[in-house]
Amino acid sequence: MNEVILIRFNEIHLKGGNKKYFTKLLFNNIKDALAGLNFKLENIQNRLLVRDFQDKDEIITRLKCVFGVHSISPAVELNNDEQEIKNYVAGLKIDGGFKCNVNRADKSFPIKSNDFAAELGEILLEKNKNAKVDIHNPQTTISVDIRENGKTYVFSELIYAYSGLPLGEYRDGLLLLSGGIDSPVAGFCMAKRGLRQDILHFDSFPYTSKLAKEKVITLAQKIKTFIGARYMYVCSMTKMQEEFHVNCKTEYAINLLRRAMIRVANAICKKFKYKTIVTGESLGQVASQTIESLTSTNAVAEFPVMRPLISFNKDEIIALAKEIGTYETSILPYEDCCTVFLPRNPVIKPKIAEAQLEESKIDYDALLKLVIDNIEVIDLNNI
Amino acid sequence: MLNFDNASTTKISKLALETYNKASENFYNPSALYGAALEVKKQIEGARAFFVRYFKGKPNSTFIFTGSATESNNAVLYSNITRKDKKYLISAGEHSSVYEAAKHFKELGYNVVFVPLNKNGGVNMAALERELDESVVFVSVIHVSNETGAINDINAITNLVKGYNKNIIVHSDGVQAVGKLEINLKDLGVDYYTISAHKINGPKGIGALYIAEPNKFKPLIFGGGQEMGLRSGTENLPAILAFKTALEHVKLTDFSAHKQAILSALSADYICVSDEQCASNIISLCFKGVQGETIEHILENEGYLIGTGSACNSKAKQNRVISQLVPKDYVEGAVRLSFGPEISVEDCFNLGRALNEAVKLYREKTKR
Repeated sequence: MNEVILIRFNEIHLKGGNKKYFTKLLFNNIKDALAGLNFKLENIQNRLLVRDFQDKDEIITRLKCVFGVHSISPAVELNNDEQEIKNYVAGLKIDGGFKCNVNRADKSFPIKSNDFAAELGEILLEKNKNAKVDIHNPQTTISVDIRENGKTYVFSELIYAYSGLPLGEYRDGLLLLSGGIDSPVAGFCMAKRGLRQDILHFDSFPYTSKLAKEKVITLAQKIKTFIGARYMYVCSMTKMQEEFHVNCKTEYAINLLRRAMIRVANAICKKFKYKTIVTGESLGQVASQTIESLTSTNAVAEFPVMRPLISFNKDEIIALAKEIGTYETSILPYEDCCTVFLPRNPVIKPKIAEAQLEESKIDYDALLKLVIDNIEVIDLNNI
Repeated sequence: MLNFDNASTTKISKLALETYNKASENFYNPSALYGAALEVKKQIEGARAFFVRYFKGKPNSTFIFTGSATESNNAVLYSNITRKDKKYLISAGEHSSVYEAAKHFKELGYNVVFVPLNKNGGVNMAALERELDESVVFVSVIHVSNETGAINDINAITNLVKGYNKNIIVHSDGVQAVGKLEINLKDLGVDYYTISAHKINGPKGIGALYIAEPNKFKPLIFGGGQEMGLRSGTENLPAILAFKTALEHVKLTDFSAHKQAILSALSADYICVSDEQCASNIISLCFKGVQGETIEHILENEGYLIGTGSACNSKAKQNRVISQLVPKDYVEGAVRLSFGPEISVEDCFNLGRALNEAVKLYREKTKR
């Protein structure tokens, strides 16, 4: 009788001919997630299995952060042997309402699921004076999973993870990470769909502080495991912002800044081979996130821009930020984009033509080149 | 890097560090009964006696050693704010370790009143006098303001307060006063006085509290009964002795020329909060329409470390003390310069010029 941890996945089952590829991906991602711990990972049909481990809690905590994992159960492993299973179940101590679930993937097992569940239930009733059957609202559910590999797994705990798809092999996404609440959550949401991402941050030193940058590095460290990030690019927008401020219409300052950010992201995507840009924008949240503002920033994008939070309410974003552990850092009082350059009345419905006109007032290409030539690259594995 | 942020903390002196390292070898617990432990105990008691002598404490008064001046300040408030039917007067210019603790008691329902300030950050004596009534039992006024350098006339305050009612307890936070003013606790007439080592080139992690009448003090920290039962916790011998060494080598320095040098280099629109009634080692300047934090960053790139009044954004709290003293559009542009022995008058000229340029640059870049 071995102690094991069963890992289930769901969406991968729908992948037809690609199921093998995704399962392998998940397998490798789990191995990465558990690096440094003692364990063995096995692929049994339609399940993954961790065995020979020491730190069960740590393994479960880490598995919960692996996308593509549907649920996790610590279990015991028995042979597909009627008597052996009954003997084990007879030793379980339970109290109050319970039910038994039997799943018979191994059709050669001689007793049908429902019949076997009833038999096991009777054994439990006999052995536990305070137990009673309650199939609708049980306190305890004893699950017996009889698999094709000749092994049976008995468990009572079902711990849900985030499901989704396993992170891809390559870092295809570039997440625009500010110091705020939304962007880390956006990275998390895209990672849930299997998008592995690196990070781009914009900095306005000396108008913003070094602590603001440290805060973003902390945020990057916190979401690194989720989004599979390795590098963070830091670009200084100071010169650009100064030029906008002096030469362009004040109310366009934010729109121009955001268009510039997308252009910098374009350049980084081309140089380092990213395929998509991820932002934390949410429709209508602020002036720069109206349809018209998004249209204006989108117009300069040369890669698809993913905005997973576009339909999220702020409180929904906050709830998720709290869950993934970024909220406490995000609300620290250092801002990323200095308020000195921000107009009191930013344009709510910017026009592309006008933005272009404003941009023509400064030596745009030279300024953009200055930003791109001075990218700082931080290796998040080496801080 | 030239450090113009000495009011924030100072570098430990060679002598203090030597004392610290040497005393670290002597690890015995002074509460033990063997000879080596007794030796430790003697050294601590020697230091304690030195502190009382050095600061000219009243007969029967004592100093207890604490983990920080913050702890000392908290302990004083905890010991004295005990009755909801009494009134407690706290100057609005207190260091946050007094102010925040007092605010905490106010939130618990105690009648804590914050006494307003003069233009230089010192407490307004007339306002303090107005607040005195029969229910007042405790007054706390910082000796030298950590924000502006304003010197409160503690002697005049104790005369006023104790003249009104001799039973009123007076506390003063003297952290910024040590090394800047001659301190004679008997003359000051206070019941409690807080000091710290790391502001005078001593180690961090050690503060002390003068207690005029130890039998009236209610401890904040209980345990093994160290420090005459007034502050439990195994004594930090190395830090206590290094604190003593730092104190032995404190030199009162007049930095008026430094202050003048900086002011002479400034042309931009500013308010100098620190007037002639302020200690000469601190100068608090508020530049109109400027972010102090950005100025700090620009100057850091040029090799100067300075302090700021407030952080560069709307979310951070504005400087509590400075915002009481200058018009709104000057508050965010607050910077604090504080001198130490390694800073020359010439350095101050240069910093003044760099500061002036930084402010000009900021205004140029951000003007419309």
